[in-house]
Amino acid sequence: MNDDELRKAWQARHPGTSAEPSPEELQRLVAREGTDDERLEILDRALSSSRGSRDLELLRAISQAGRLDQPRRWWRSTAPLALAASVLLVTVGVLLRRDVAREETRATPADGSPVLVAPATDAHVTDPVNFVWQAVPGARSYRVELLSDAGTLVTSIETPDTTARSALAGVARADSSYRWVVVALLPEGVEVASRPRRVTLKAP
Amino acid sequence: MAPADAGSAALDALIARCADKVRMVGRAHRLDPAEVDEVFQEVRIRVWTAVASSERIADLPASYVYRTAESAALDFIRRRRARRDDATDSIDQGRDIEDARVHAPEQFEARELGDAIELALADLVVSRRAVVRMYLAGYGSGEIGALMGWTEPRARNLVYRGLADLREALSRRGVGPEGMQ
Repeated sequence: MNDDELRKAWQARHPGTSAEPSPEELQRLVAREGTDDERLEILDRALSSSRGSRDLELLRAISQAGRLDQPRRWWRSTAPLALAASVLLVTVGVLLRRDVAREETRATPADGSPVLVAPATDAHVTDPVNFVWQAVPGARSYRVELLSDAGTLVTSIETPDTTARSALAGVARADSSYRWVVVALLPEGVEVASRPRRVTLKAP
Repeated sequence: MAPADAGSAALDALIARCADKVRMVGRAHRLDPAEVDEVFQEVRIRVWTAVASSERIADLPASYVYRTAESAALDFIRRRRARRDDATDSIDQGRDIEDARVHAPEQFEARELGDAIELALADLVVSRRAVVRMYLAGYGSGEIGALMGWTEPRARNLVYRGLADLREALSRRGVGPEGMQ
């Protein structure tokens, strides 16, 4: 049964005989007084009987109409919040953009992974390629990995420096895109990888 | 126009606007327009009694009218319940006779299914049951949220989970996607 069929069937049931809430209880319900649990219990009883449902609807409609009939007050009360939210969104947006723009120059991120410097994201490079990244505190050496789009390792170079010059001819195809990552090799076998960056090898 | 007439006209316009809004809100849920009329007739009397000055009446905010309407509606409900309590036996007897004579077999079937749903609702915890009842009564998640002071997504989520519980309870009672089995 879909929701509509459920509704129709339920509305066709025999009228309930359970104790309906008092008018005062219904008033507390629509005035949002009391805890959720208390009000849900009143609501449950109200909707169990046709009399309670009818009484509730009268009070609910008046209360809801009163709320809807206060657009200016609503605007005044929410305008500061809306303004604050807009300022916050703009600020976050600007910061995010700066964050992206500074990706190549910012310091070591909080997770301690290597920060890639060059080639830039989506750069088209010619062979041989100079890979550059920022040092990671405590790293004994680094491993540069070149991966195909499918994630297969194409080649890797290990170096104690923060640069590596790699001849890709013979291992990578021209006009194909790859991803490169730098893995910092830390004491006790700990490895921390950078975020991958896409690079395309141009034909010579 | 005399000041008293001007105050009366302003009050009539304000009350008519508020009553229209209430009727509009309640229309989807079969709120009887006659009930609204009766309540707002009482509102008019109460406002005139409470606010003697026509100048003050002309400046009344709508919120005052709605608060008065809530109070008038409570008294209206009390009076109606008192009348209904006096007439309960005859109403129920009349309903039984109507059931036997008028309702077609398919309507009995629909009622049987409705009663099965009502029984299955008893399996739900109160918090979900109330929300599901409201949904089954035709209220949308926005209206449920407005009544309970919740956000619409929260109300929608509770409806969704409650309906899942209800379908499970119905299934345990042999009521599947095709209805009674």
